[in-house]
Amino acid sequence: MICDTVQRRLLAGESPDQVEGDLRAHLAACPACRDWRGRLLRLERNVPYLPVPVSRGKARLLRELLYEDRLESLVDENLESPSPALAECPVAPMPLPSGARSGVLLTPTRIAAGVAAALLLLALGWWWLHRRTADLPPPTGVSAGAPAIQQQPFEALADLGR
Amino acid sequence: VVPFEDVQVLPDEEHILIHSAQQGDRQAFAVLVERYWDRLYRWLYHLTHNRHAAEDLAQEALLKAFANLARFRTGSNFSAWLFRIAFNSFVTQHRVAARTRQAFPDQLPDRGIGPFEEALSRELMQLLARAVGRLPEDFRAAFLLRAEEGLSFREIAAVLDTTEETARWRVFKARQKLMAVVAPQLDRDEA
Repeated sequence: MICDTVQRRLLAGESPDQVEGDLRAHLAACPACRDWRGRLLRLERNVPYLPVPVSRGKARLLRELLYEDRLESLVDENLESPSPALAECPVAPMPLPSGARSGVLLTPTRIAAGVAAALLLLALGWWWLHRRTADLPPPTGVSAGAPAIQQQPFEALADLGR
Repeated sequence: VVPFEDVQVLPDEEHILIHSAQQGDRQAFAVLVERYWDRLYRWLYHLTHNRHAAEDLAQEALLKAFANLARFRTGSNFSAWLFRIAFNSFVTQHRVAARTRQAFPDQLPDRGIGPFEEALSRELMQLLARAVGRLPEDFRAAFLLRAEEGLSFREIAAVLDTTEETARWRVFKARQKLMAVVAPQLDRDEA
Protein backbone atom coordinates (compact mmCIF):
# COMPACT_ATOMS: atom_id res chain seq x y z
CA MET A 1 0.00 0.00 0.00
CA ILE A 2 1.37 3.41 -0.89
CA CYS A 3 1.68 6.15 1.72
CA ASP A 4 -0.70 8.53 -0.06
CA THR A 5 -3.50 5.97 0.07
CA VAL A 6 -2.86 5.34 3.74
CA GLN A 7 -2.97 9.03 4.55
CA ARG A 8 -6.16 9.55 2.59
CA ARG A 9 -7.78 6.66 4.43
CA LEU A 10 -6.70 8.14 7.74
CA LEU A 11 -8.26 11.46 6.76
CA ALA A 12 -11.49 9.77 5.72
CA GLY A 13 -11.78 7.52 8.75
CA GLU A 14 -14.09 8.31 11.60
CA SER A 15 -11.23 8.45 14.06
CA PRO A 16 -7.56 8.47 13.09
CA ASP A 17 -6.66 6.64 16.28
CA GLN A 18 -8.74 3.61 15.34
CA VAL A 19 -7.22 2.01 12.27
CA GLU A 20 -8.04 -1.19 10.47
CA GLY A 21 -5.73 -4.18 10.14
CA ASP A 22 -4.09 -3.38 6.79
CA LEU A 23 -3.50 0.23 7.80
CA ARG A 24 -2.03 -0.86 11.09
CA ALA A 25 0.40 -3.12 9.27
CA HIS A 26 1.51 -0.27 7.02
CA LEU A 27 1.91 2.12 9.93
CA ALA A 28 4.01 -0.41 11.80
CA ALA A 29 6.40 -0.57 8.86
CA CYS A 30 6.39 3.09 7.73
CA PRO A 31 7.80 5.71 10.12
CA ALA A 32 6.79 8.59 7.80
CA CYS A 33 3.11 7.60 7.88
CA ARG A 34 3.35 6.97 11.60
CA ASP A 35 4.64 10.51 12.15
CA TRP A 36 2.03 11.89 9.79
CA ARG A 37 -0.73 10.14 11.74
CA GLY A 38 0.77 11.43 14.99
CA ARG A 39 0.49 15.01 13.71
CA LEU A 40 -3.09 14.45 12.60
CA LEU A 41 -4.00 13.07 16.03
CA ARG A 42 -2.25 15.89 17.82
CA LEU A 43 -4.02 18.48 15.71
CA GLU A 44 -7.44 16.94 16.21
CA ARG A 45 -7.02 16.40 19.94
CA ASN A 46 -6.26 20.07 20.44
CA VAL A 47 -9.37 21.29 18.67
CA PRO A 48 -11.57 21.02 21.80
CA TYR A 49 -9.16 23.41 23.52
CA LEU A 50 -9.39 26.19 20.97
CA PRO A 51 -10.14 29.44 22.76
CA VAL A 52 -13.62 30.92 22.75
CA PRO A 53 -14.82 33.98 24.70
CA VAL A 54 -16.46 33.29 28.03
CA SER A 55 -20.23 33.09 27.80
CA ARG A 56 -22.58 34.44 30.47
CA GLY A 57 -25.65 33.24 28.63
CA LYS A 58 -25.96 29.98 30.48
CA ALA A 59 -26.29 31.64 33.89
CA ARG A 60 -28.86 34.03 32.46
CA LEU A 61 -30.93 31.26 30.94
CA LEU A 62 -30.76 29.12 34.08
CA ARG A 63 -31.88 32.08 36.18
CA GLU A 64 -34.86 32.62 33.87
CA LEU A 65 -35.59 28.94 33.98
CA LEU A 66 -35.42 28.36 37.70
CA TYR A 67 -35.99 31.60 39.54
CA GLU A 68 -38.02 33.88 37.35
CA ASP A 69 -41.40 33.46 35.82
CA ARG A 70 -40.45 34.69 32.38
CA LEU A 71 -39.73 31.38 30.72
CA GLU A 72 -42.99 31.15 28.77
CA SER A 73 -42.64 34.65 27.38
CA LEU A 74 -38.99 33.95 26.59
CA VAL A 75 -39.98 30.82 24.71
CA ASP A 76 -42.64 32.80 22.82
CA GLU A 77 -40.15 35.51 21.93
CA ASN A 78 -37.68 32.99 20.58
CA LEU A 79 -40.27 31.09 18.62
CA GLU A 80 -41.94 34.17 17.15
CA SER A 81 -38.85 36.09 16.21
CA PRO A 82 -37.09 34.63 13.19
CA SER A 83 -33.82 36.22 14.19
CA PRO A 84 -33.70 37.20 17.86
CA ALA A 85 -29.95 37.63 17.72
CA LEU A 86 -30.33 40.34 15.16
CA ALA A 87 -32.94 42.09 17.23
CA GLU A 88 -30.85 42.06 20.38
CA CYS A 89 -27.43 42.87 18.96
CA PRO A 90 -26.49 46.52 19.01
CA VAL A 91 -26.15 47.64 15.45
CA ALA A 92 -24.41 50.79 14.29
CA PRO A 93 -26.65 53.10 12.25
CA MET A 94 -26.33 52.51 8.56
CA PRO A 95 -24.75 55.41 6.65
CA LEU A 96 -27.07 57.10 4.17
CA PRO A 97 -26.18 56.71 0.54
CA SER A 98 -25.42 60.02 -1.13
CA GLY A 99 -28.50 61.67 -2.62
CA ALA A 100 -30.85 59.82 -0.29
CA ARG A 101 -31.49 62.72 2.02
CA SER A 102 -35.17 63.27 1.32
CA GLY A 103 -38.09 60.91 1.20
CA VAL A 104 -36.20 57.97 2.63
CA LEU A 105 -36.25 59.18 6.21
CA LEU A 106 -39.98 59.87 6.60
CA THR A 107 -40.47 57.96 9.78
CA PRO A 108 -43.87 58.12 11.59
CA THR A 109 -42.33 60.30 14.32
CA ARG A 110 -41.05 62.79 11.79
CA ILE A 111 -44.37 62.89 9.93
CA ALA A 112 -46.21 63.53 13.22
CA ALA A 113 -43.77 66.33 14.11
CA GLY A 114 -44.30 67.90 10.70
CA VAL A 115 -48.08 67.79 11.02
CA ALA A 116 -47.88 69.29 14.51
CA ALA A 117 -45.64 72.11 13.26
CA ALA A 118 -48.02 72.83 10.38
CA LEU A 119 -51.03 72.96 12.75
CA LEU A 120 -49.16 75.29 15.07
CA LEU A 121 -48.33 77.62 12.19
CA LEU A 122 -51.97 77.62 11.06
CA ALA A 123 -53.16 78.38 14.57
CA LEU A 124 -50.67 81.24 14.91
CA GLY A 125 -51.70 82.61 11.54
CA TRP A 126 -55.35 82.47 12.45
CA TRP A 127 -54.70 84.14 15.79
CA TRP A 128 -52.59 86.88 14.20
CA LEU A 129 -55.18 87.54 11.54
CA HIS A 130 -57.99 87.64 14.07
CA ARG A 131 -56.12 90.00 16.34
CA ARG A 132 -55.27 92.51 13.58
CA THR A 133 -58.77 92.56 12.06
CA ALA A 134 -60.37 92.95 15.49
CA ASP A 135 -58.40 96.21 15.90
CA LEU A 136 -59.79 97.71 12.62
CA PRO A 137 -62.91 99.89 12.56
CA PRO A 138 -66.00 98.11 11.16
CA PRO A 139 -66.59 98.92 7.49
CA THR A 140 -69.51 101.17 6.56
CA GLY A 141 -72.88 99.53 5.95
CA VAL A 142 -72.29 96.64 8.26
CA SER A 143 -74.53 96.11 11.22
CA ALA A 144 -72.86 96.58 14.57
CA GLY A 145 -73.83 93.09 15.76
CA ALA A 146 -71.93 91.17 13.05
CA PRO A 147 -68.10 90.87 13.14
CA ALA A 148 -66.57 92.65 10.18
CA ILE A 149 -63.98 89.93 9.53
CA GLN A 150 -66.58 87.28 8.95
CA GLN A 151 -68.52 89.31 6.41
CA GLN A 152 -65.74 91.04 4.43
CA PRO A 153 -62.44 89.38 5.22
CA PHE A 154 -60.67 90.33 1.99
CA GLU A 155 -61.45 94.01 2.35
CA ALA A 156 -60.10 93.91 5.86
CA LEU A 157 -56.93 92.28 4.65
CA ALA A 158 -56.54 94.89 1.92
CA ASP A 159 -56.69 97.59 4.59
CA LEU A 160 -53.77 96.08 6.40
CA GLY A 161 -51.42 97.09 3.61
CA ARG A 162 -52.30 100.81 3.79
CA VAL B 1 -30.24 12.11 4.48
CA VAL B 2 -29.98 10.54 7.92
CA PRO B 3 -32.98 11.26 10.18
CA PHE B 4 -31.85 12.06 13.71
CA GLU B 5 -34.26 9.46 15.13
CA ASP B 6 -32.01 6.78 13.65
CA VAL B 7 -28.82 7.78 15.37
CA GLN B 8 -27.55 6.08 18.47
CA VAL B 9 -29.10 6.41 21.87
CA LEU B 10 -27.53 8.35 24.73
CA PRO B 11 -27.17 7.26 28.36
CA ASP B 12 -30.26 6.23 30.31
CA GLU B 13 -29.85 9.06 32.78
CA GLU B 14 -30.40 11.55 30.01
CA HIS B 15 -33.63 9.87 29.00
CA ILE B 16 -34.89 10.21 32.54
CA LEU B 17 -34.06 13.91 32.48
CA ILE B 18 -35.73 14.37 29.11
CA HIS B 19 -38.79 12.46 30.25
CA SER B 20 -39.06 14.64 33.37
CA ALA B 21 -38.59 17.78 31.28
CA GLN B 22 -41.32 16.59 28.95
CA GLN B 23 -43.63 16.50 31.99
CA GLY B 24 -42.76 20.15 32.64
CA ASP B 25 -39.99 19.66 35.20
CA ARG B 26 -37.86 22.78 34.86
CA GLN B 27 -35.16 21.44 37.17
CA ALA B 28 -34.64 18.53 34.82
CA PHE B 29 -34.46 20.82 31.82
CA ALA B 30 -32.02 23.04 33.74
CA VAL B 31 -29.70 20.03 34.06
CA LEU B 32 -29.89 19.58 30.31
CA VAL B 33 -29.10 23.28 29.81
CA GLU B 34 -26.16 22.93 32.18
CA ARG B 35 -24.96 19.91 30.25
CA TYR B 36 -25.34 21.26 26.73
CA TRP B 37 -24.87 25.00 26.88
CA ASP B 38 -21.07 25.07 26.64
CA ARG B 39 -21.00 22.48 23.87
CA LEU B 40 -23.62 24.28 21.82
CA TYR B 41 -22.06 27.68 22.47
CA ARG B 42 -18.55 26.54 21.50
CA TRP B 43 -19.77 25.03 18.27
CA LEU B 44 -21.90 28.04 17.40
CA TYR B 45 -19.08 30.43 18.26
CA HIS B 46 -16.82 28.60 15.83
CA LEU B 47 -19.53 28.92 13.19
CA THR B 48 -20.37 32.58 13.78
CA HIS B 49 -17.17 34.02 15.31
CA ASN B 50 -19.49 36.26 17.26
CA ARG B 51 -20.09 35.78 20.99
CA HIS B 52 -23.50 37.46 21.08
CA ALA B 53 -24.74 35.59 18.04
CA ALA B 54 -23.51 32.28 19.45
CA GLU B 55 -25.19 32.97 22.81
CA ASP B 56 -28.45 33.98 21.17
CA LEU B 57 -28.43 30.92 18.94
CA ALA B 58 -27.65 28.60 21.85
CA GLN B 59 -30.47 30.11 23.89
CA GLU B 60 -32.84 29.93 20.96
CA ALA B 61 -31.99 26.29 20.33
CA LEU B 62 -32.50 25.31 23.97
CA LEU B 63 -35.77 27.19 24.25
CA LYS B 64 -37.04 25.70 21.01
CA ALA B 65 -36.07 22.30 22.33
CA PHE B 66 -37.93 23.01 25.57
CA ALA B 67 -41.02 24.16 23.69
CA ASN B 68 -40.95 21.10 21.42
CA LEU B 69 -39.90 18.43 23.89
CA ALA B 70 -43.23 16.69 23.43
CA ARG B 71 -42.25 16.00 19.82
CA PHE B 72 -38.90 14.49 20.77
CA ARG B 73 -39.07 10.74 20.30
CA THR B 74 -37.81 8.75 23.25
CA GLY B 75 -34.93 6.58 22.21
CA SER B 76 -33.46 8.96 19.65
CA ASN B 77 -30.37 11.05 20.15
CA PHE B 78 -31.11 14.23 22.10
CA SER B 79 -27.69 15.68 21.37
CA ALA B 80 -28.10 15.30 17.60
CA TRP B 81 -31.64 16.70 17.84
CA LEU B 82 -30.44 19.74 19.79
CA PHE B 83 -27.52 20.43 17.46
CA ARG B 84 -29.87 20.05 14.52
CA ILE B 85 -32.19 22.72 15.96
CA ALA B 86 -29.20 25.00 16.54
CA PHE B 87 -27.90 24.44 13.03
CA ASN B 88 -31.31 25.23 11.53
CA SER B 89 -31.40 28.49 13.48
CA PHE B 90 -27.87 29.30 12.38
CA VAL B 91 -28.69 28.66 8.73
CA THR B 92 -31.84 30.79 8.95
CA GLN B 93 -29.96 33.68 10.49
CA HIS B 94 -27.07 33.32 8.16
CA ARG B 95 -29.39 33.81 5.24
CA VAL B 96 -30.83 36.94 6.82
CA ALA B 97 -27.54 38.68 7.43
CA ALA B 98 -23.86 37.91 7.27
CA ARG B 99 -22.23 38.19 10.65
CA THR B 100 -19.44 40.56 11.44
CA ARG B 101 -16.46 38.36 12.08
CA GLN B 102 -14.42 38.84 15.18
CA ALA B 103 -10.83 37.86 15.55
CA PHE B 104 -10.07 34.93 17.78
CA PRO B 105 -9.43 36.11 21.33
CA ASP B 106 -5.93 36.31 22.70
CA GLN B 107 -6.75 34.65 26.01
CA LEU B 108 -5.95 31.00 25.63
CA PRO B 109 -6.97 28.40 28.13
CA ASP B 110 -4.31 27.18 30.49
CA ARG B 111 -2.13 24.55 28.88
CA GLY B 112 -2.87 22.29 31.81
CA ILE B 113 -6.45 22.03 30.61
CA GLY B 114 -5.41 20.66 27.23
CA PRO B 115 -4.09 17.23 26.36
CA PHE B 116 -0.91 17.55 28.39
CA GLU B 117 1.49 15.50 26.32
CA GLU B 118 0.16 16.73 23.02
CA ALA B 119 -0.55 20.36 23.92
CA LEU B 120 0.34 22.89 21.25
CA SER B 121 2.23 26.09 21.86
CA ARG B 122 0.26 29.31 22.07
CA GLU B 123 1.32 30.26 18.55
CA LEU B 124 0.27 26.91 17.16
CA MET B 125 -3.09 27.12 18.90
CA GLN B 126 -3.62 30.53 17.31
CA LEU B 127 -2.62 29.10 13.96
CA LEU B 128 -4.99 26.19 14.40
CA ALA B 129 -7.80 28.52 15.49
CA ARG B 130 -7.31 30.69 12.43
CA ALA B 131 -7.10 27.68 10.14
CA VAL B 132 -10.32 26.25 11.57
CA GLY B 133 -11.94 29.67 11.25
CA ARG B 134 -11.04 29.84 7.57
CA LEU B 135 -12.48 26.47 6.68
CA PRO B 136 -15.58 26.61 4.51
CA GLU B 137 -18.61 26.69 6.75
CA ASP B 138 -19.91 23.24 5.81
CA PHE B 139 -16.53 21.63 6.40
CA ARG B 140 -16.07 23.49 9.69
CA ALA B 141 -19.48 22.50 11.04
CA ALA B 142 -18.93 18.83 10.22
CA PHE B 143 -15.32 18.72 11.39
CA LEU B 144 -16.11 20.34 14.75
CA LEU B 145 -18.97 17.94 15.38
CA ARG B 146 -16.46 15.14 14.83
CA ALA B 147 -13.46 16.58 16.69
CA GLU B 148 -15.26 18.33 19.56
CA GLU B 149 -18.44 16.37 19.98
CA GLY B 150 -17.14 13.01 18.86
CA LEU B 151 -20.23 12.43 16.72
CA SER B 152 -20.15 9.65 14.17
CA PHE B 153 -20.50 10.45 10.49
CA ARG B 154 -24.06 9.20 10.71
CA GLU B 155 -24.85 11.56 13.57
CA ILE B 156 -23.14 14.46 11.81
CA ALA B 157 -25.25 13.76 8.74
CA ALA B 158 -28.38 13.85 10.90
CA VAL B 159 -27.40 17.21 12.42
CA LEU B 160 -26.46 18.82 9.13
CA ASP B 161 -29.36 17.29 7.24
CA THR B 162 -27.19 15.55 4.71
CA THR B 163 -25.97 12.07 3.79
CA GLU B 164 -23.41 10.06 5.68
CA GLU B 165 -21.06 10.13 2.70
CA THR B 166 -21.28 13.91 2.45
CA ALA B 167 -20.53 14.20 6.16
CA ARG B 168 -17.50 11.95 5.70
CA TRP B 169 -16.34 14.01 2.72
CA ARG B 170 -16.63 17.28 4.62
CA VAL B 171 -14.62 15.96 7.56
CA PHE B 172 -12.04 14.55 5.15
CA LYS B 173 -11.63 17.90 3.36
CA ALA B 174 -11.45 19.83 6.62
CA ARG B 175 -8.72 17.55 7.97
CA GLN B 176 -6.84 17.75 4.69
CA LYS B 177 -6.88 21.56 4.69
CA LEU B 178 -5.90 21.79 8.35
CA MET B 179 -3.04 19.37 7.90
CA ALA B 180 -1.78 21.40 4.95
CA VAL B 181 -1.66 24.55 7.08
CA VAL B 182 -0.73 23.29 10.52
CA ALA B 183 1.36 20.16 9.93
CA PRO B 184 4.47 22.02 8.65
CA GLN B 185 4.42 24.16 11.78
CA LEU B 186 3.94 21.07 13.92
CA ASP B 187 7.10 19.66 12.36
CA ARG B 188 9.05 22.76 13.34
CA ASP B 189 7.50 22.75 16.80
CA GLU B 190 8.57 19.15 17.34
CA ALA B 191 12.05 19.84 15.98
